[in-house]
Amino acid sequence: MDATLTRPVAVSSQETDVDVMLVDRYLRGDVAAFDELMVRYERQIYRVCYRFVENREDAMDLAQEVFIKAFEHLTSFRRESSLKTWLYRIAMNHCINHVKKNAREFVEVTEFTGSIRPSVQNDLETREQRAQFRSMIQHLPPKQKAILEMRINEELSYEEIAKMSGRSVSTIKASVFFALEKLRKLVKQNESK
Amino acid sequence: MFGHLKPQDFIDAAESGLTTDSAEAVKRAAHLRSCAPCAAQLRATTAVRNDLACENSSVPEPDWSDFRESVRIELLSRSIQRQTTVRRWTGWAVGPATAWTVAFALLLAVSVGGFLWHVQQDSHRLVAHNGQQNSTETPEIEDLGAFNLAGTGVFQQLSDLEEPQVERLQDLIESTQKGTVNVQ
Repeated sequence: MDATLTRPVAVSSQETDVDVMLVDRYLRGDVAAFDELMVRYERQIYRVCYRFVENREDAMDLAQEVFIKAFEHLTSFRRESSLKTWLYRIAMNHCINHVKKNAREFVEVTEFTGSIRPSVQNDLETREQRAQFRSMIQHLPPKQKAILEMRINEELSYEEIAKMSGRSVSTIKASVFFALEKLRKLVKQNESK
Repeated sequence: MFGHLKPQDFIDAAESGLTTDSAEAVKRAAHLRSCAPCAAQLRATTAVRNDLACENSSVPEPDWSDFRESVRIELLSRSIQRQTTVRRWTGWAVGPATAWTVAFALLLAVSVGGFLWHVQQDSHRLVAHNGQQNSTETPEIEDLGAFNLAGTGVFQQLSDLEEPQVERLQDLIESTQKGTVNVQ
């Protein structure tokens, strides 16, 4: 089932209150709260995971791990940040670790796919360009990539990303700039080949 | 503004455009109008940023109810695994450990109890023995006291004797020693 995901909506303080209430209900053993929390965040977390692996099955596995980790440690959620930020932080760290662990395998798979289906790629020029662009994104360092995803695709504020990663807002902005620059150079290099 | 724009300035300019809502934004816009390399850099950054934002459009969705169910089942199975692990530890490690501890405590209690009982018996026996010794020694002490008392009386009587009586007593003692007793 391939469908496009809707854009994330910024979390208001009312929504944060709802999150806190749902967390309390879940910790008291309310099973319905689990479903409500999942419905609120499954798409966002899955989308982050998907961009790291570019594969639905792997993204589902990653997202599942993120949610399991989150629910198992929900008692340690100190409510200093919003649940959304907390979940994104878990997802970001989990995905970064996954990418670091599987970096070698990932490169090999990409190369293999590129060499086995040249005719298909020639036919679908637009798709090829998109795929190349996506593969260029995968070449970014995991942390830069994570920050870029959080800002551009998930539309988190710089303050939220700064809180998540424990850095200053200006450092995050600089990271986004350098990530975009690196991406631009990678695309340029790829075009000149 | 001195020098070129900083990385964060490019990001601010790319995201909010060349607005003039703050003093910094005004300076930034002024610099970009006068500096060709910075303007080119901003165009490039904005272009890549827009391309990346467009990439957001297609992410294949899974079946969410299946996904939710899989998370629920995995959570449940991990919880059961943890409980089983605890029970296994209780059954195979904590259980025997407790049994050994109880057995050792019982052994220790019996040993200490036996020892204390033995010590108590010994002390009773000693007290009884001392009691017997005291009962045999008491008459001797009493005799000694009587002797002393009697002795005191004899010496008292001797010291009370008058001169002729003392001479007569001396003669009597001497004759007793010679074997010729003449009592008159």
